[in-house]
Amino acid sequence: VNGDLLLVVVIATALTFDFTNGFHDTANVVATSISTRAMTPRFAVTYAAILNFAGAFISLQVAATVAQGLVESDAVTMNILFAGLIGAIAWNLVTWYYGLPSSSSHALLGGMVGAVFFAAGSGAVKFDGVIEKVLVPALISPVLAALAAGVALAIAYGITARHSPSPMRRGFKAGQIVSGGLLALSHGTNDGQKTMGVMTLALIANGNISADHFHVPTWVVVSAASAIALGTYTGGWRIINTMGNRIHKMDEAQGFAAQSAGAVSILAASHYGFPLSTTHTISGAVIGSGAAKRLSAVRWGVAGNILVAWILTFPASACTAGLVYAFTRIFGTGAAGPLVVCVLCLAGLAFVLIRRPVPATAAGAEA
Amino acid sequence: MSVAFVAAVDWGALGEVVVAALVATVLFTVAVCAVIVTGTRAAELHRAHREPAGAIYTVLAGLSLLALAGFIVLGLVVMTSK
Repeated sequence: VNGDLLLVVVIATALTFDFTNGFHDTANVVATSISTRAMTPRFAVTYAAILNFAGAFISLQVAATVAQGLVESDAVTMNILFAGLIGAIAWNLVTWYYGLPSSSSHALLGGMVGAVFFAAGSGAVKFDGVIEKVLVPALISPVLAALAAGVALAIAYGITARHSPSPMRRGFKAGQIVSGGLLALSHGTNDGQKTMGVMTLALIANGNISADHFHVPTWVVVSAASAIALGTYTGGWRIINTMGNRIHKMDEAQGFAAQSAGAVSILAASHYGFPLSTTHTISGAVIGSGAAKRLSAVRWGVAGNILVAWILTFPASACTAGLVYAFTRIFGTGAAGPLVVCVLCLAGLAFVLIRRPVPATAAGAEA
Repeated sequence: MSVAFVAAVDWGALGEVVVAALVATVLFTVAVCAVIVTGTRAAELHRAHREPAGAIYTVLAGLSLLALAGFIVLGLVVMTSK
């Protein structure tokens, strides 16, 4: 009974992370469309939520990578998974509070690696996997997307320069519906699966699924897809504001170039098996589309804050997860520790939300 | 650390990713811009009752749209096959 209770707690925590993932990363998909008024805020998040939901059903390869690629599966226990998820959720909430678009994927992977490192030592961490799946994509994706966005913008301006601006602007707005849709679908495919991988690991750790016959149950796919879609629909307006307005003020062609470069880069990388972070990719594309028009158009201070958040994501999530694991161990290996942490987290979150003033952007977007 | 970093990365595949992403971005952008420009031009010519030229631009807009649809389908295939 204790094991099943712990499984329920871990699954609920994984779905909570998935919700924060959708909530946090909505900005990646919709910010440029909202900023250029290609879509209304509510339509944009609804559109993204539907395509995120659909995207989560497309493939299960990423789920397998998360479940097997970074840590030794044998070392993973339910308490480790719980600690890793709390580390990721905490980082997602902190970066959301400050409106910083950091990678939910890196937060999750950092949390998992940190909790395993603290619990089972460095031998249980696959450092080659960390380099290949976390470090390299973190360096490559923003640079590649920025370059692609710059090229796309130069082409877009070059082709449309001799035509009257008004219909071209309308055309790029329509183009953003296509590129934004591809981006939302690829986000659902990538990020929805990461939670599925963690939930499947929990089922393996609890003995519900054999590690030798890895498969993701349908109810896991449906619940993870629903959680990320619900989070996306709720929308993290603080990060949408940063991505859409604070890095630089975009015109329609820039919004289109950023979304197209982001979506195409993610898809090209997926095709070759390189797991790029959607957050890093689209942030790089937004910066690239601004810098390609005029270097001084980009607020480099905001871009610098985002970069610092990216660098801190993995170690901060890992350390938080390690501390959470150490705390839960005070109560033994059962469900008591995670339950105490859940109660403390809910109390802390309620306290913050009650005291938090409603940001003007959110009110404006909702109106 | 630097040796491990170099050894862990498949640099050949990485180069292919960079080239593929840039080429695909260029082609996708050209396809969308072609739809916008030819579609707009077709509408303008039809409004001006310049039917032969309008019809040609309508065909070009249709072809551009087909190319764009091809890219979208290719994207979906890439996602489903990974």
